[in-house]
Amino acid sequence: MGKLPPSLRTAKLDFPLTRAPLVPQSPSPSHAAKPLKPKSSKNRKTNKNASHSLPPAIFKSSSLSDAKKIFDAFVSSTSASNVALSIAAHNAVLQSFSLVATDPRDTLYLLQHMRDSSPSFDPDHSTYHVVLSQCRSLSAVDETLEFMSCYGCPPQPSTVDIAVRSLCAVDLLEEASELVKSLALRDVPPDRFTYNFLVRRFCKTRSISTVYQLIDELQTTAKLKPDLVTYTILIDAVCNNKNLREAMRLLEELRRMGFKPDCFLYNTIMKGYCVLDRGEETIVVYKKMLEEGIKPDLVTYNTLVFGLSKVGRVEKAREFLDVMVEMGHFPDTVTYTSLMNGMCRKGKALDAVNLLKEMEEKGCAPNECTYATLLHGLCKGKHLDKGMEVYHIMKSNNMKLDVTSYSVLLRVLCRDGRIAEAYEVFDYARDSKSVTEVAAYTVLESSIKWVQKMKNSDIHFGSSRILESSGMIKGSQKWYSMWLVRCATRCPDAAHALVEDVTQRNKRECWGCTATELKKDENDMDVFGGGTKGRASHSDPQVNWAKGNVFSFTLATLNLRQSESSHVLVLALTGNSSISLLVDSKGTFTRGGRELNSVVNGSDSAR
Amino acid sequence: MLPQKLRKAVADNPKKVADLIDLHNLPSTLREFLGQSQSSPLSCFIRVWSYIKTNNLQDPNDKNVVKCDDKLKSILLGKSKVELAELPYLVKLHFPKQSK
Repeated sequence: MGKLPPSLRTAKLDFPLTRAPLVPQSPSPSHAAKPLKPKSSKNRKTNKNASHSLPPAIFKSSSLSDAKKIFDAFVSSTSASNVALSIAAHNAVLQSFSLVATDPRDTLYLLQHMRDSSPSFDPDHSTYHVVLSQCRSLSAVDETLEFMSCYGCPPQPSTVDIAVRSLCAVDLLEEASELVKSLALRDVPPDRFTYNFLVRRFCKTRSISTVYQLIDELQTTAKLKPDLVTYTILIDAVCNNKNLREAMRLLEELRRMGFKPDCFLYNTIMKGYCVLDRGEETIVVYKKMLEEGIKPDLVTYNTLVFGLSKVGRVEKAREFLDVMVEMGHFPDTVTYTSLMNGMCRKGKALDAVNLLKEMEEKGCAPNECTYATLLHGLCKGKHLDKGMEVYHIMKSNNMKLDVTSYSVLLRVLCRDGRIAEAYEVFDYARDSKSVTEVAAYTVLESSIKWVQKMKNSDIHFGSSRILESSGMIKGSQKWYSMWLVRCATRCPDAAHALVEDVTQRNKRECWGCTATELKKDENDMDVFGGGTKGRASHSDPQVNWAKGNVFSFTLATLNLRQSESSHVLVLALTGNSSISLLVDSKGTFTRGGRELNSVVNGSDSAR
Repeated sequence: MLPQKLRKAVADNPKKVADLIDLHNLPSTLREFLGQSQSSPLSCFIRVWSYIKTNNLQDPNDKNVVKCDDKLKSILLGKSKVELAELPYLVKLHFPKQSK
């Protein structure tokens, strides 16, 4: 029964990454472990079903007596033509009823009726599995199992598997684990697939301590030890929760148990680093893989490129495209999209457009995600017209917009006063069902409102004149922060002037206000970052002091590790790593801190 | 992880969502326009916008401006020209916040 060859494992893995670049959750091992057994057997059944000329939707009502009548009519019609019904035919009948039946018990009764009315029918495991796969509660499963053992069909490992899956399908995880334990006591241990399936489901929705408890319990009751796949699932889960220390401990434990990490596990670890915004570390993992003689696959390279792009090392990521080709893997859409994402983050949206051309020349078709990344990057990078081109390409190909690029596009359109086009995009987003009506409308309304607010407060693009006169009103903190927020998004020059002004007046407190104000409208954070970016290389300690303070206040007001925008803000503030600020726990800063990550980690752990 | 956040922001605010999709009893002017006695702010807005589109009421020189016909005038405060940017606000006026 369904073990996948390693090549298939990774091939399947590829899928989640295709959606990765904007939602940075790359490949999860969860998708890889195992095909759905019940499904394949179902397919087989429906095939045979067809050979018996029985339409699958034979049962219209969920009433048991109707079903019995239909079955009797069916039996009498076939017995007239002297065809003995096989088990498969019975299974097919049973299955089509179980799909409409409201209570799995009814299916059982029908099964009993079938047994009674046609003596040639001897139900085997597959018959009961049909019933089991529709069970939606522990009691129903128990009843079916009892029924099975009464009629001389003791449960098998595959039975356990199907029961567990049907329970998990309705999120009855605790019940499923109870079932596994009780069956294990009855000498029907779950097989590896069931075990890993259960662990994976637990990892997805329960806390990690619950998962450990489950593993412990299964070890004592069913003598089941975690294997390499289990460890991979666990490491993936802790990495998704950003608990790197635990992941490292698991890695140690895994080596102690005598397992050798495979390519797949390394991919998971790399992905973990990506989630933690420590994309550089992927190179270290990659080198280690090569040292240990494990052959990297396409997913490895995709993760590598993704991780490097995410932390802004686009050039390095680009180098790996050539390395990939040397190793016999050709960059695919995912690779290019990750790279484009990196370029857009760096504000080089036009490079990303060039890359799109290069990609198409090489015969690699862009997908929705590629265009969405480009659209997002172009709009943020003030190339609205190019962005609209991309939008029209997407529209002509009937591609869906994602929420982020949709809202950014609307904002930028509204800002440029192209309200009609914004309405048009709004219509398209609704028609293509890319975002819900409510979300689409909320974004439209808030973008328009925001623009109206701007107009009412008489701000004109790039006019720093008002700001110059602002010296007359020696404003309060609130006044400053309000203006900073507004200017940051509309005219960077004015924002610069304000930053200087505030620094001169030594109004330290207002940075906190600003950060709080900005937090309200998170989308503008990075624009604000972009506004002050030009000053990053400024050697004036006062300005740097100001930045350090914005930074620390931002840290204090936002949970930085979870906020993409503040990440961008900090990146912008610290400049392109030529001058980096290191904020220690007291909120002062020292120059020359090496990596942004150490800043983030340092202040985070200090809190 | 902005997209998740945004999605969360909408999902986290069930009240806002409810405000948009709850059915309200319509005032007589709107009832005439929509031809139904109950509607939600959201669907009302979409109806008004699609009415503008189907009747080509946008100013061909400046797409951002809508030239109201008589029917539209009746529900949009009697203005003869409405900017698209005002539209959500104007439609919303018909749906006062319900005090509990």
